[in-house]
Amino acid sequence: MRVTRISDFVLTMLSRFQQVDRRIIYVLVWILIGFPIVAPHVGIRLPVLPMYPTRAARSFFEAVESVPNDKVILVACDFDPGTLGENGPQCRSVIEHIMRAGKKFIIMGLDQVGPTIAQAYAEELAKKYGYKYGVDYCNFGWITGGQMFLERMCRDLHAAVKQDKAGTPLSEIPMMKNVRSAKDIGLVVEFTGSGLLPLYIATFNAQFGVKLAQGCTGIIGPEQFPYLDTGQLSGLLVGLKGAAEYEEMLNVVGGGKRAMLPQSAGHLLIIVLVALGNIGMWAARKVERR
Amino acid sequence: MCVDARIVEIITYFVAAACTLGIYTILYRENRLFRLFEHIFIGVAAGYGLAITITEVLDPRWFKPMITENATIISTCESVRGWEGVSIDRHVKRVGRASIRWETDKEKMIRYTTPPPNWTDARYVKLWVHSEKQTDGSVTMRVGTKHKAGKPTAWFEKSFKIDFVGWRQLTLYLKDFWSKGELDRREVKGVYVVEFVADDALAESGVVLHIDELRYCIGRKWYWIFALVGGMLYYTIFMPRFAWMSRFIIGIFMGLQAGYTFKAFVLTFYPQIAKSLRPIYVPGNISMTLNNIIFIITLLCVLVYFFFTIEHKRPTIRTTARLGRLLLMITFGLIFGNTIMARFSLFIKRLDFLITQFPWLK
Repeated sequence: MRVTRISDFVLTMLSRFQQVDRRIIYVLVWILIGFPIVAPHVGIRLPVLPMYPTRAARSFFEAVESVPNDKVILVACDFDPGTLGENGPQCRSVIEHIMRAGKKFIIMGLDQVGPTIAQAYAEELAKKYGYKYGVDYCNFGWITGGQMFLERMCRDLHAAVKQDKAGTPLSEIPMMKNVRSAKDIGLVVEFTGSGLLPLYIATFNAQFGVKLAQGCTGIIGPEQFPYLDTGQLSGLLVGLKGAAEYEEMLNVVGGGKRAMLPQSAGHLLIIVLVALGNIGMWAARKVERR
Repeated sequence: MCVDARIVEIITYFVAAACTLGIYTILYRENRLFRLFEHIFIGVAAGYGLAITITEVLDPRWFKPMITENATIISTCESVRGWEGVSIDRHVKRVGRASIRWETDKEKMIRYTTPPPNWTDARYVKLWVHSEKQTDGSVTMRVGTKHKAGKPTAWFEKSFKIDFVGWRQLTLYLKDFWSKGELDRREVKGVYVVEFVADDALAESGVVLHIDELRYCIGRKWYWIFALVGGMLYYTIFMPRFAWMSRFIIGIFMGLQAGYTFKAFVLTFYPQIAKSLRPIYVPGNISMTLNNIIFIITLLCVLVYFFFTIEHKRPTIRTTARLGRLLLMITFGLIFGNTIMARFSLFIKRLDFLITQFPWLK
C-alpha cells in the first residue's frame, strides 16, 4: 500500500515535467548560455571544445585555396543583422582566409545591409594583412535586379556595374582593370539566410561554369546539401558550427569557436528537457491508467 | 562641438542594450515595452530601407543618369603625368588649378597615354580649348583603341578648327569620328591613348593652345523618365477607375519573371534529377554502394508516400508509404534540430554583445 503511494507520488511529480512554465526554461537558457560567455571575464577558465571540420567545410576551404591568383573571388553577402549571429562569423573567417591566401576579392550583396557588414570585416582585417581598397578588394554594395542583373554581370561586369559602393567608377579601380566578366571570377562565395542560391547556380555555375560555395544559416542548411551532392556547390558552411569549423582550419579563435561552448550547453539543455518531457508524458499516462 | 568617442560608445551600448532587453521582455509576457521596441525596429528598418534605396539605387542609377551628362574625366589636365609633349600652365586655366600648355610650333603632336579604357556607352567628348589668336589651322583628336584579338589597333579621328580667341568648350560626337580601315566601333575593347595633332597651318602660325578638363560623356538619359511612368502604373490599382492600367505593368513583369524562373528551374534542378539516377552497386566502394542504396530507397519511398491518387491499401504500397513517412519525419527532426541551433546562435550573438561589449568590462 505504502509502495503504491510512493510510486504514485513519484509519477505525479514526474508528470509535472509536461507543465514546466516556459519562463523557467528561458531562465535556464539564459544561465546556461550566459555563463560560458561571462566566465572568461571573471577569471574562470573554461575549455575550448575541439572541432572536427566536416567534408563540406573542408571542400569550402579547398575551393578558396584553389582559386588561381589571376582571378578574383566574389563575396556575395546576402544577409542582414537578423542572421548576423551565423552568417557574420562565417563571412569574417572566409574573408580572413582569402586575405591570408593573398587573393583579390569583390564584395557585393543582393541584400541592403550585407555588403556594409562585410566591408567592416574587410577593413578590420585589411590592417592585419596589408590589403588596400581598390587594389586588393572592392565593394559594389547593394545590387538590385536579381537573376537578370547576375546574368548581365556574368556577360559584361563593367556594363552591369558602373561604380562601386562609394561611387567610384569601376574604370578607376585598379583591380577591376582585368576583371571583365564571369571568366575572370574564380569562385563565388555566398552568405545568406534565405533561398537565393538558385539565382547564383542558374547564372554563375550553370551557364558560365564558375565554382560556388555557400555559408548558410542552420535552418536552411538541410536544403542545401543536395546542391553539394550534385557538385553545384563546391563547399558548404552550415550555421555557427560551420564558422567554427572554418576557424579550426584557419587555426584562429573567432566568433564561431568561442560560441561553441554556450551553443553546446544550450543543446544539452534541450536534450535534457526533451527527455524530461517524454518521461513526464509517460508518467502522466501511467497516472491516468490508475 | 566635439563629443568624446568614449561617451558616444557608452551611449551607443546602452541604447542597443535597452533595445535588445526590451525585445526580450516578450519572454516574460506580451507587454507595452516590447511593442514599443518592436515598432522602433520596424520603423528603423523601413526608414533605412527607403534611405538606402534612394542613395544607392534611385539616385545613382536613375536620377543622376537622367539629369546629368554622365561624364567621366579622361584627364583633369592639372599635371603632366601621362602626357607627352606638353607643360603645365597655372595662370591660364578654365577648371581647377592648371591647364595643359601646348606649343604647336615645337610639338606637332601631343598625347595622353593613361585614359580610362572603358568608353562603353560614351556618346561625345567634351574639352576646354584656349587659343591666343585666331588661325586657319585645325587640330585632329585621335583616339587609339585596342581591338579584339586578331585585329590591328584601331584609330578614330575627328578634326576641329582653331578659329577663335580665348576659351571655348568643344563637344565632339563620337559618331562623327571616322575610323581608319573597316572597323566597327561596337567591337572596340578599350581606349589606351588619346592624341592631338596640329595640321601644318596651325604649326606654322605658332599658336599656343591650352587644354583643360578632357572628358567623355554618355549624355542625359532623359528617357529614364518613362520608368517613373511605368512604376506609377502600379499605383493605379488603388483607383478603381484606372485599375485596369496596372495590369500592363504587372503583366510585363510577370511574363519576364516567368521566363527567368523557368530557365532557372531547368538550370538548377535538372542536374539534381540527373544525379538521382545512381548505380546501386559501385565496384570496390562499399560505402558509396551503401549510400546509393539508402538514397534510392529513401527517394522511392517518399515518392510513393506522395502518390495520393493511389489508395494506400495494398500492403506493398502501405508499407512503402509508411517507410517514406518515417524517413520524412527523420528529415523534419534534422531540420528542427538545425532550427534550434540557428535560434541559439542568434541568441548567443545578442548575449555576447550584452556581456563582452559592456563598457567597463572591455
